Amino acid sequence: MRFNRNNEMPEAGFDITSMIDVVLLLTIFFMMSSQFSRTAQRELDLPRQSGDAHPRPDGSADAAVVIDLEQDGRLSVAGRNYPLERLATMVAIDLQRAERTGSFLDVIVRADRSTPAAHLQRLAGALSAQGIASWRLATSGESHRSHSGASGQNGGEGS
Amino acid sequence: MNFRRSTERGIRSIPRLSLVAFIDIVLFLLLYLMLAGTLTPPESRISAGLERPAAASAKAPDLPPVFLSVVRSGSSVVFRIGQREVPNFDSVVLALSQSPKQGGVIVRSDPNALVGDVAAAMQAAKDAGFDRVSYAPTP
Repeated sequence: MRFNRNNEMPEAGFDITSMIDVVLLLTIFFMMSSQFSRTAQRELDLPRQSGDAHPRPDGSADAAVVIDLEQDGRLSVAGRNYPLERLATMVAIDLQRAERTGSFLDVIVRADRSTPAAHLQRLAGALSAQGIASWRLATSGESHRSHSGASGQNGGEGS
Repeated sequence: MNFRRSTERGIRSIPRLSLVAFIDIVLFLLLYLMLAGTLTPPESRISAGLERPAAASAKAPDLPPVFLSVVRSGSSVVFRIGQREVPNFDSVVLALSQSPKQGGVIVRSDPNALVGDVAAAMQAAKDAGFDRVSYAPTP
């Protein structure tokens, strides 16, 4: 009896085609669903409101300037701190530049919900003085209705 | 020049791409995207205008806007629609939903109020059906 016909043993292996298919599908899914622009933003406890029922009714913005406002009133864009007047001027210049090129720039303010409104008033005043007429306040997207009742405790949701 | 390399028994050999580096990169990207994607919480926005006192007085609107003020003393917050005091969020939504919508809402805040209170006032106006919601920088 001769079991060993030829001396060349076939190399053991498995088919990785289906694994590559699945991995590529997952990669494409995460690439589409992730938002990379937020990686440079500060971690803030945003107001717990659901936001606009119909997001962006006035057409889609081509880009956005995201201003982070912390509890102590510090302002930052893309992780860099700026004084109020300089920030307002920068945003105004960006808006004018976008207007010249025919694109629309969104101004988004991300403020911690425990921040005194006086800081928000100062920021809004500086932006308004630069001729900026509209902005958007970032919220967490979750509604606070479930714990409404007591008036405005837990750092200000005004419930 | 001989472009055709070795052929065994007349069958052309198919050039094979090494998949090891490719799989490394794809798995690294997958790991990064999974971590970066899941750690980012979803956010929403409340669209609002910025009120300019000079511009507001220059053009007279057909209908006057509704003024919604947020006042905080200590841990309690009170909303005021005009001069009328409204105790909580749901009452604000109810009261605003019965107001005419054409003039819009102007939200004012007490300096002691918090950003969360301002956001609640804006949200109440939006929930009541107002499209034009503005924030007045100074009370």
